[in-house]
Amino acid sequence: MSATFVPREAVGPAASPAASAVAEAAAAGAAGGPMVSARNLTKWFKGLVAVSDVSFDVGPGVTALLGPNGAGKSTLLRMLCGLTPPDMGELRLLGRDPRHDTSVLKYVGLVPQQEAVFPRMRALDFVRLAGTLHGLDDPDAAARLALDAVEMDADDTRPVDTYSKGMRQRVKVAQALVNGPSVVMADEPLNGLDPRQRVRLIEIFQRLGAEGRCVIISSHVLDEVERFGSRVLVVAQGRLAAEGDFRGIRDLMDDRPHMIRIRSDRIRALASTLLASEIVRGATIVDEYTAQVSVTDVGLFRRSVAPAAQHVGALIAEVLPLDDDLESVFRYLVGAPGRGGST
Amino acid sequence: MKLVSLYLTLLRGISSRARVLGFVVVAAIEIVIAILLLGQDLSDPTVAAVQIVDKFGMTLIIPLAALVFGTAALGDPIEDGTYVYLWLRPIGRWQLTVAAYLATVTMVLPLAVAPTIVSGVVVDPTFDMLTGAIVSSLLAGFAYSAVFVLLGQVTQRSLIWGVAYLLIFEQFIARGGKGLGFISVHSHAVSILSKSVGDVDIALDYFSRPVAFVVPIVFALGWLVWSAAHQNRMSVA
Repeated sequence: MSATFVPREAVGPAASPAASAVAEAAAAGAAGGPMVSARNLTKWFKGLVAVSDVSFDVGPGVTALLGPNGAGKSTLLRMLCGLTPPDMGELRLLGRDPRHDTSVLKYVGLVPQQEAVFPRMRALDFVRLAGTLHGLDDPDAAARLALDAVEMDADDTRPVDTYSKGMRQRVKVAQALVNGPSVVMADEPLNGLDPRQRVRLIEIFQRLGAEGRCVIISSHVLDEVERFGSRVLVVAQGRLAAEGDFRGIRDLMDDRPHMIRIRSDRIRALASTLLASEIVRGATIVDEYTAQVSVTDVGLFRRSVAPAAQHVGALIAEVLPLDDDLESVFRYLVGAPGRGGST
Repeated sequence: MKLVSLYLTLLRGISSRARVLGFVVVAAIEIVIAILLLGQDLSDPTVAAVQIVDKFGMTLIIPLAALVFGTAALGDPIEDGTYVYLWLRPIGRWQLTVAAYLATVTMVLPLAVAPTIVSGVVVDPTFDMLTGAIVSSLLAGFAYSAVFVLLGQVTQRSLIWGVAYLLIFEQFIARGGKGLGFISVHSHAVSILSKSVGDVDIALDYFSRPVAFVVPIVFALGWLVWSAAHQNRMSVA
């Protein structure tokens, strides 16, 4: 199937064939400025701070909101598209407040996280409804194109609520694309998709970004974000822990101190050698065969640990990173003052 | 077109087979009871007809149907998360309230109001009963629908709150006098019915026909305006 993303000029309301969605949105209020702008956004629920003093600007291209579960990504995304008001701070979507100026929603597509869809409704009806509510001239044609773009059969007569999770996810993406939006927001859009579908959807989002649209994807999976090759906003504990290019975040991951467990028959001798040669910054002997070492340069450690063991005649039974997961990175980023910011 | 799409979507959402079948059965019971009453040697068919329209129709079926369909119209999509697909669109959000109200009324009229009118006329087939049952039942249906559409939007446990409102306020507190009865849907509907058939002695018959006719309409409009205004203030999951 050679489906491509639905261009707004093909189906959108009041659009000239020459005008792109982005140009139209720019004319509508975002000309020259960021497409999404957040200033000191703060949101709390019953005394618990969900999002705290978050500021950033997002322009064209793919931007990932990266953070562990419960970090505040979904709340932030809901505020960005106007679904919930911030308790403090200011938000502008294409230069306008989406809470009070619903006309700006003509340029927005959202893929929400929740799986629920309308009961007893076909995919075509579901996506066509979105097109109708966006005021498209031909919502039926737009819905068919959008479904085609996510490789769904528009003529499937089964209700969407009987679909598999992956199929439902693609229909949700189709309803977000039906109006050819300038700003696309997606909350964990790759959840439930098989690898092939993931690749396809990542391609679609990348294409949207390359077309000059603003695409904001939230995810808690580092590898997903890496595949988007995008700019990253790292959210942890409701705060913006870091922002910048993905490679910067990756470098930050590699540069931070790592805790590694080593099991060996001569653990004291091995730990001493590693310390003496400054391959590790610190070592704690846990028991007769086990030590935990603190490492800054993971690459150097990987290259040196085997020769060091050979040097002292030790057999290595295990080398296990204890904190090489995303949660640890977030804890590190949030833990020290001044560590966040642009990477 | 947008309003029609919203209406059809919400109507599809509330008109589940179980709900419709449940109310078809209850409506059938109401009409069967009316037919059985017809076979009795009634000394005053008008009183009997008023009793069935009041006790079965305006006390039970109409408010219950409005409660079930009205709270579901906005409450269900808000609760299951599908409301975002309607709310986050470039539309006047008042249309969501209007569509929900129209969908509710679409279900309440045939499943609750119509059987109530039929049961009254079966027992007392007079023009006064016909007009009284039509006007009072419609007023009750329209007003209760507005109350429960709003309730479904602003509360999470709208069914429980709705039952509490019907049992505690409409059936208990409103009987405390004309002042409390003024904000009761039931008392206005009963007043219309009673006055239409010649002042039958019945509880909650507090108001003149013009007052009983206008007040529920004003209240219903007020609930709907509140709901429409709340659309812009609410948080959507």
